[in-house]
Amino acid sequence: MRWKRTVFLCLAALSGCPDNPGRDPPRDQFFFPIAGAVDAEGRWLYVVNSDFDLAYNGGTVVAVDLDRVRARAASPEARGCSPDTDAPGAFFCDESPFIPRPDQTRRISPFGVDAAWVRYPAAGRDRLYVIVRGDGSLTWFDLNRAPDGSRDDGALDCGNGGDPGGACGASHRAGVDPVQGLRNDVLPPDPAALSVDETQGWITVVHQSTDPNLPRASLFRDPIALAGAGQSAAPQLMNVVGQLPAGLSSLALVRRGDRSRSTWLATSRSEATFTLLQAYPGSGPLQDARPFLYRAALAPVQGLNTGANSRAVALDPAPGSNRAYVVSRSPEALLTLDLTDLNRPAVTEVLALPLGPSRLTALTAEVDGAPRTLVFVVSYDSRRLTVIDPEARRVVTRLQTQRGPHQLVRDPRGEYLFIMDFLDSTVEVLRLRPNMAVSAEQRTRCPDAALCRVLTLGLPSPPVVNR
Amino acid sequence: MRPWRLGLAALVGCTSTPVFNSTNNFTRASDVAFVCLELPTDPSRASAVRPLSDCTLNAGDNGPGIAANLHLHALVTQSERGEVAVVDLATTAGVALVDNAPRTPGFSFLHVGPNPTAIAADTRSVWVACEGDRRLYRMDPALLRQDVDGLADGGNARFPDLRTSVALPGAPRDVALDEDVQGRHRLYVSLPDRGTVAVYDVEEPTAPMLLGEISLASAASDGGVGDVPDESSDVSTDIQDDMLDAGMDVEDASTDLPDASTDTPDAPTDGPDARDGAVGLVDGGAGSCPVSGAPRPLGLAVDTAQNRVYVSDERSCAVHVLDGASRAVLYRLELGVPSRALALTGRARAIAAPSPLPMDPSTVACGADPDHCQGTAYLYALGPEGGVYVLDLERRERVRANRMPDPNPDGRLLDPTLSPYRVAISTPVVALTAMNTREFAPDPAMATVPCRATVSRETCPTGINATPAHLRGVFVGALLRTGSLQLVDVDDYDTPCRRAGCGAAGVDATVYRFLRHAPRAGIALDRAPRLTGRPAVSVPVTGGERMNVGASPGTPAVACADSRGPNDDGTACTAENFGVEVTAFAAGQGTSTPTPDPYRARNESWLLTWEGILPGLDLSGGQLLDRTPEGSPDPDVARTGRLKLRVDGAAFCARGVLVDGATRDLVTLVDDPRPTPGMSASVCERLFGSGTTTVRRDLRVFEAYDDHLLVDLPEGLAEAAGDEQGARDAILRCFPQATRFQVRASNQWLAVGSRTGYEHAVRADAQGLCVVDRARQDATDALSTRCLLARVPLARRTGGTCATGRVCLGELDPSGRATAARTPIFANPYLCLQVFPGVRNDPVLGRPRAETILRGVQLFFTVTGAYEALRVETGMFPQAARFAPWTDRFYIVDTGATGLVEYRLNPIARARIFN
Repeated sequence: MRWKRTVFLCLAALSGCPDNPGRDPPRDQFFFPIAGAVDAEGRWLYVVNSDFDLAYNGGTVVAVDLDRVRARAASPEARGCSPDTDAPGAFFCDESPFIPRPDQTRRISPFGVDAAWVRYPAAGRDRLYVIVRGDGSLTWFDLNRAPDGSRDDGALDCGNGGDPGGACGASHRAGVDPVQGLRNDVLPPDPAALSVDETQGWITVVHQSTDPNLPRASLFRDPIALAGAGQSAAPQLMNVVGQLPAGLSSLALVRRGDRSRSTWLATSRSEATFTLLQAYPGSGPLQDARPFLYRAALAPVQGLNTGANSRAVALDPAPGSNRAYVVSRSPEALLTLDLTDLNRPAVTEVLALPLGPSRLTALTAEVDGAPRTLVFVVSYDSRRLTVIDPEARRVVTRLQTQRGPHQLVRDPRGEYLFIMDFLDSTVEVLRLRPNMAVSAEQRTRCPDAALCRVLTLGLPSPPVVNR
Repeated sequence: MRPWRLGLAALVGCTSTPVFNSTNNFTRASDVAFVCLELPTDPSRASAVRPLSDCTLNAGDNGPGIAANLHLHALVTQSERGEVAVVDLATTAGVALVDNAPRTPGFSFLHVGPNPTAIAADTRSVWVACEGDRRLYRMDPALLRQDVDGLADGGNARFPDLRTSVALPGAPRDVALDEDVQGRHRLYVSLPDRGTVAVYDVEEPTAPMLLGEISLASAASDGGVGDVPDESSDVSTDIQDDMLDAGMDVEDASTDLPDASTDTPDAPTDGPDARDGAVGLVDGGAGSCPVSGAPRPLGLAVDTAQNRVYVSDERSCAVHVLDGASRAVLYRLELGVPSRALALTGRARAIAAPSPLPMDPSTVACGADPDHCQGTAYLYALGPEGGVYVLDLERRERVRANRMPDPNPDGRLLDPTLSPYRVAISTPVVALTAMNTREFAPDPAMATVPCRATVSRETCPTGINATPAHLRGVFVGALLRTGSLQLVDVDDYDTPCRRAGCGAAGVDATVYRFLRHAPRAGIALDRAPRLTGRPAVSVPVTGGERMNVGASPGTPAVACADSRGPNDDGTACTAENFGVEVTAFAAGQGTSTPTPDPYRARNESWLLTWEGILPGLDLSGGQLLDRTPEGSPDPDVARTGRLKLRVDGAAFCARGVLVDGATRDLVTLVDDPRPTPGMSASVCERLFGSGTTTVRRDLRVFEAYDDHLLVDLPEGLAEAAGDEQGARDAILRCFPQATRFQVRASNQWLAVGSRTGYEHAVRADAQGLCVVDRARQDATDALSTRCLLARVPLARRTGGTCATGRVCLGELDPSGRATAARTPIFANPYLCLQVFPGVRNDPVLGRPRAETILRGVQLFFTVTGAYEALRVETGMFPQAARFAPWTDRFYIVDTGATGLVEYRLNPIARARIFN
């Protein structure tokens, strides 16, 4: 895709790009969806469209109404949708009816990378954070709130001045202006992933650059997480960290141990190492209020061949578990990590995955009447969703997806799984059965099988060279 | 299209490993089985199926061995697509993969169900268990090469008998074929979720009949076919009763050394800090018995002759033994750990009668050392976290595979970091395969053994090349997760020839001996282990660089003689190994002088660093405290009057921080000061320096705990800051944040081996205080009493023993000489040494004195010639290994891009790749 970008940039330059505002992106469609986040009630799915081919003058964040999605998924009738011949009982549906608030679609810079939804109960606020590579920003949104402060379900406010479909304002793009940073830093290039500790307001970002002179981790703090912060509090860049392994690709917040120091486990797509990052909150007794992020430990990936290309990490959601799961491309496998000694994560299992694994999520499901952790992995290159029972070390089921599955988002209600299909510009809706153990016969049919696609939002539209 | 490409490659002189079909048609290959087919002259007709013994491979061109139309085929399951790929292993050129649908572009394989987990074949059927749809598929081997185009039904329209299937009671894991006493064919399928093994009568292969399920939860000889698995049964009680009934002793667990972690200490690393943490005997969690929950059978191994089926169980610490006749659990074999896979070897010969050669364990009566000299069949089991364990099927006991053979008075282990019961392979193993080579015969007396016990160099059998790469006998292949294979010796028919040095050049003496259940040595072991050269000395220079310095009277040196005086630069050293004593053979092995034992030494480089940084203790995030986060005085600080350095997860005890009567390790603050807003930067600069000019950065440890240290103020800081309180305030405000620090050995050399790492004898007590582990230190002390006896007999020693993992210095004697008697001994399982300081005449003092050693000075040497396991590289992601009888080849399934990889024996070498 890089060459396409080059072509378009050259064409844009030749056409006198600086004076051409470009074409506004659609407000009710997906185009190269790259990330997603869902709120705690499972009401809204926020999809980040990356505008990867620069067909428009920006990407967007759209809010998908999940109540409408559930209602549609529950209905066996076509109702304006077309049958999905690859998944009996499933449909392709135009995504527009599921984006009921196109006026709330917000334009961001191209190349959004990752997103996270966070609730701050003390402040009564829900926020969405999106890391955007195009303008090097942490773009943030206040959710479900009208400009006058009243509740407005489905609203997104990113300082766009009430302009429907407008671009997010500078006030909601942190990390761009060095003056705003605690140490006059700006967000380094090539962000890859973010992770939020809502209890402290930390927003940690890792960067996948291989330039040894560039920082590869950043820390923001959103003061709205702290008691007494004003309603207009905004995230601020605390510091950036250099001398870290190249190609940091993903993060997982480790919620155990000493909570005075938030700790993240980071993977690398370039080196066979795991990195532990910690946030130092300052010292009250010493009146030191200058938090920063630092590298707490480095641990080599041992016990397998190379291990130098890890793409995503997720912790085991089972209470008290010391496990984590890592998607590796070298080898192409799901790694199980033992985090008993956090400074020395140990690879304990290696299970083969289809070609090109990219992202994963872990959830607790009922299997044969007992709660089990299941790991769902999408493989971008081979269009597969693989469900693995890591305890039994076996594949529970496999599913063919649309093209370019990149990101997985769980439904908090436990009923569905959403897949952002980057290449087809769709969002798939998969139903999870509460009991994953079904008969062999049932496994061949949908929608009664344990996991099946019920909807694809958006009509598959593969990348086009010339638009 | 493809043949001309291959021909072109041949014309241009392609000499790399032949790869058949580099278009990578395999997709997540997972398992392999073999069939022998007699190819018809008309390709459209079915093949005839022959016994495997009819299909050999030509050593020259890999073509058919016995007859041109007898072709050995590999059947490789494709787990992602639910297919079986057929590979003609006797292909000499062109395409080896069988395309079952030539009219479809690309290679088409035979469909089975989703996610095939296991495959087994005989002359009547090919059986594939598929987890995805919980079905058992049967294919007619005679039709495996047929064109089955018509992919919609997988070819069944044309060949109805090609493939049939039946539903299984549950998700399968493994399959195994056998015959009962009446000769009726049986198929066993392990069903982990049900805790049972399903038994099918497959006498009529197109109509397999389920005879029932053997419940592994039932008592031995008590359960029968059709029992419903009782998930509430107390398996551990049953196991104990069975063992007592069988006359077996329940092992005293306190004598067992727990499994170590899955670190790979045999992977060489560079420098001391590259190895994080110490290597020692640690509780690994593996081996926790009994394991809760219903049985979970996984791997199967069939003893056709005995009509027994062995079943691994990853929720039980025993292997279940099923009787094929009664289809019941006969008894259980206590393994001590849960198991995932099994490999059954052929019967090994007992160690030969006493040999006149020295250092020969066969001089020991077999009853005293049954672990090594017993001749029987063995069951190798793959335990959790990739450990390999061994069961003696005659004694029905675990084998102490890691224990060196007798005479072994100190109970020496081949790999001291592992349990005695674990085969000395520390890298996780993913699969096992038993290998009975062509010379093997079920009756050991009938085996074709080329080398008899009386062979000598003068009488070496003609044509025998007995290098480590030649394998004749009984072995077990252990496939490592890191992408290599090790071979475990069970019965090596070439042992006498190796002792005699047959096939090797320039051998004067041999220290080789055969170790049953040990990974096969990768070198001939025909010379004693030794240092590669004189220990070198290097000093740190600016910019993190180092500079080697030559020997001089002022430089420290490994002790090479009884003493060292002021003018002695050590270059006159004539002692063996430059004064380093490499661990020798145990007493009683027929040697008059200590001879370094290749099985007790270790190939690695040693780095002794003066006040070296403890591995893993160069950390950021340290916070110096005198108060709690809430602002109240810290109780430990108040109690001791020291400052607290707190680092969550530092594991100071596990990393060997030492505070005892003689030693108090040091903490060095590395970061430049970052003053708090209320603190003057210039004051911090004055007190602590910055950049390359640092002062007062060392804090001596007063008490060490696993997650924090109580430290003294730096020496001289109180004076510089005015008073002690001022000093405290200054250091807290100059280093208030997550500080980078290092913990160093104080006034000692830190010894770190490139494989051994830093061994220490420190543990955390119940309160988290780091204390000396007396058992470990006593073990170190005991080692030191057995070495360097020629240089300094025990009665003359006054220097004592250094703390484990550290080399310490002694005092000069009254005459100003460093003496061996006064110098403590550094000892570990692999070597012993002493270090003398540099000694110079001090004109001011008027007498010799020991030279001050600068922090960071290093002594370096390398030991070579020790035992090291033979390793054969495989693909990146190996999954399964199978030995092909009568061909002396084995095949590894690599689920990554590599596919099916063929290896020859004699010598062992990679041959071809099929994908």
